[in-house]
Amino acid sequence: MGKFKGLLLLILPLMLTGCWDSVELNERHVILEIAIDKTPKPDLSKPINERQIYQITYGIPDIGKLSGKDSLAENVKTSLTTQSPSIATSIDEIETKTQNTVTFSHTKALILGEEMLKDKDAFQAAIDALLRDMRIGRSVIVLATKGLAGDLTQADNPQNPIMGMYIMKYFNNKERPVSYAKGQLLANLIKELEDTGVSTMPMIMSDKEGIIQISGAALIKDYAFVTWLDKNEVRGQLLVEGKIKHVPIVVTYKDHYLTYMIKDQKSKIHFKENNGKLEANIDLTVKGDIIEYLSSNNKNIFNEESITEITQQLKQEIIRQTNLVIDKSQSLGVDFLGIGLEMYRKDPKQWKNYKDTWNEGDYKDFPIHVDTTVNIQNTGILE
Amino acid sequence: MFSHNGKVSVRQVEILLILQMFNTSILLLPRIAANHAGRNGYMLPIVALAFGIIYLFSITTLTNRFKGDTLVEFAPKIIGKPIAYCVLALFAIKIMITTGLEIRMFGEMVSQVMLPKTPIEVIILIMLLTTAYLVKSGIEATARMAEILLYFIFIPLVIVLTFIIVKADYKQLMPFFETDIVSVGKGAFVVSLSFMPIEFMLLLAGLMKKQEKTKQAIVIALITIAIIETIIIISTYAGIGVNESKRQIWPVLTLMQSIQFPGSLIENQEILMMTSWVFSIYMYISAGLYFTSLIGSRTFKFKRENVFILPIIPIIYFIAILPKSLVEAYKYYVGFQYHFGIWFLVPIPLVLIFIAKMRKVGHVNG
Repeated sequence: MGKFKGLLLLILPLMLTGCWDSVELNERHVILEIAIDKTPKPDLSKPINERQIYQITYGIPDIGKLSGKDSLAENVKTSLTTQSPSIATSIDEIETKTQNTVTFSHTKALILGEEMLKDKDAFQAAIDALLRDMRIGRSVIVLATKGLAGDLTQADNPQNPIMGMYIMKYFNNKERPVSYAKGQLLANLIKELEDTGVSTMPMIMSDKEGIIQISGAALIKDYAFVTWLDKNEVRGQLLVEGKIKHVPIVVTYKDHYLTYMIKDQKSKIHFKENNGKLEANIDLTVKGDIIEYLSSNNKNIFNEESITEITQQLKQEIIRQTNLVIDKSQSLGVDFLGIGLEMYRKDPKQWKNYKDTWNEGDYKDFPIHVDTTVNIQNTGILE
Repeated sequence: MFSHNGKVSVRQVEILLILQMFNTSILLLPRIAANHAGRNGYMLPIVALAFGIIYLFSITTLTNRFKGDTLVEFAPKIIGKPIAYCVLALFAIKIMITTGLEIRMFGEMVSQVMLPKTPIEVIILIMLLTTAYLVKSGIEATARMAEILLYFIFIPLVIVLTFIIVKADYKQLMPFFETDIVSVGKGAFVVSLSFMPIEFMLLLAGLMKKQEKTKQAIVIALITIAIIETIIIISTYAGIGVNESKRQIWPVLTLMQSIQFPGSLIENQEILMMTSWVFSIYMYISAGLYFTSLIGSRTFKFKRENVFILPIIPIIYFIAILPKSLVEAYKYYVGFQYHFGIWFLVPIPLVLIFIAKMRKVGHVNG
């Protein structure tokens, strides 16, 4: 009996190992970026379940080369592209081309090509597929690109060959100015699309030298692409949302340019009736310093009169930049600034009068006014 | 804490109840609350406290009449042995079905998030056997385990929720108080069914050393769990949005997946929530096994209370694997809770109180 017990005790720890079909970390391909495109010319004569709608490019880094002494090694990643009728079949196909198991648990970036965004069904289905079985985390960063996303991720990026890492570092750097691109997580994109049907995702592009730029945005409504927003329009959007940080504003003061650096910005939207008609007021408050100005004996800014004049100039410039995006948003009739949502939240009774017609035309003609309070906190160490 | 006298302290009962109420329904709660009261779903657990107080009074009025007795002892005194044994059998069946469905949902969740390639049957069986190992040592061991696990459950939860609370978009909760009162009432009732483990007090109250403090123990557990539920619903709405909460089967896990820790320091943070939750399910299953076994052993007058634990395991396992899919398991889980959750909380205790008063059985001033 004693021997039997001893044997049992020896065998039992085997049960504690947790898994019998373990795959070690070095036997896994950790996909850091996924680029999803619509296949340029899918064969539409085939039944839906056989149409190769998705063209997906997976960036597989060689973790061994990326770590330790070989951190500057070349050829640190392999890009594999598949064409398939669904996301799952694409992953299935990728498994046939790799020796290791692919895993998406550390995916950093999801890049969507222009044609993909324009196909509402394919776009919505792709997002649904990625989330349904929790394949990728919802905190993955989502971006849009003109042209093919796969081309972008396969292009040489001299700063960082792994696009997913580049994007993660770009958005995780909290010292970076928030000026022309609004970061978007997959979770937030879905939340916005489910709440209002409208969202934006930052645009990423690469020039001939392989220099990556993230600015501007793709405007999405009801999971369908509407248009591209340029970087100045995104600047306006960030102002309305109160997210601007470390951004220079340049104005002309006494025949010379003056640069004001916004350090912090807040925005508040409120509604009031004017002559029986409801209107929105966006109150922006900015804090910052004057960081550039060529002063001389007769052009001195270190006095209250100059500060008041400069404040007025800055105010007009910020209002101009904000109005740029309001005009764009109203001309498109797409409320990506969240004015309707704000009305619903702050004045639900009034919203009842607008909710059925807001997207059908009410928003286009809705009066929106911008007011700005500019605080100049510092003028530097020169007069 | 007492040494091997089969009794539990008031504090242990509070902890046991809190952990038992922190079960699968917590993970579904934001979805249920959003479907009933939309953006104002976070107020449902607080309103549900009113129902909780009703459950509390119906159970404690009955148990305080028969101090030192469990349902197994006092039911025959009130309604006679034949009917009492039928009621006890129904109670045991109800606990077994609830435990079976709870462990099935647990298996589905673990399979989905942590162990996708492990057969769900293996997950269920390992959990059942591990629980049986604890429960065979009796209620004291279970209560002491609850005291230890409390820290392992709530510390990770507090860490994760702190990050969410700091970063959350609270505008998601606006506009306030826009839901009609009927929806709030109905929703609060459904949410109050998450307090169902209070029914274990029909058995547990008789095992307390200071039974006069039963009400205090239940009130503290109810208030604690209502606050936790409210925080979880608010965090989920603020984190993933109300509409997305309605769409998700496990909105709390989706919330955990959605948060981003500064500098991507921690990834796959849903594991933290899973850890908390696995421990708490462990305590729930323990209660299910223990009380079913207690009903059996006391009914058949066995000296050992753990005689029935091993025979019950195959039955619970069978109930757990009965639903063919997650859809079916979810339907049974929610449906069973909705249709049968209330029976041993209010109607049956009230009938027993009424008959006991009519027949003048038990302590009148209980």
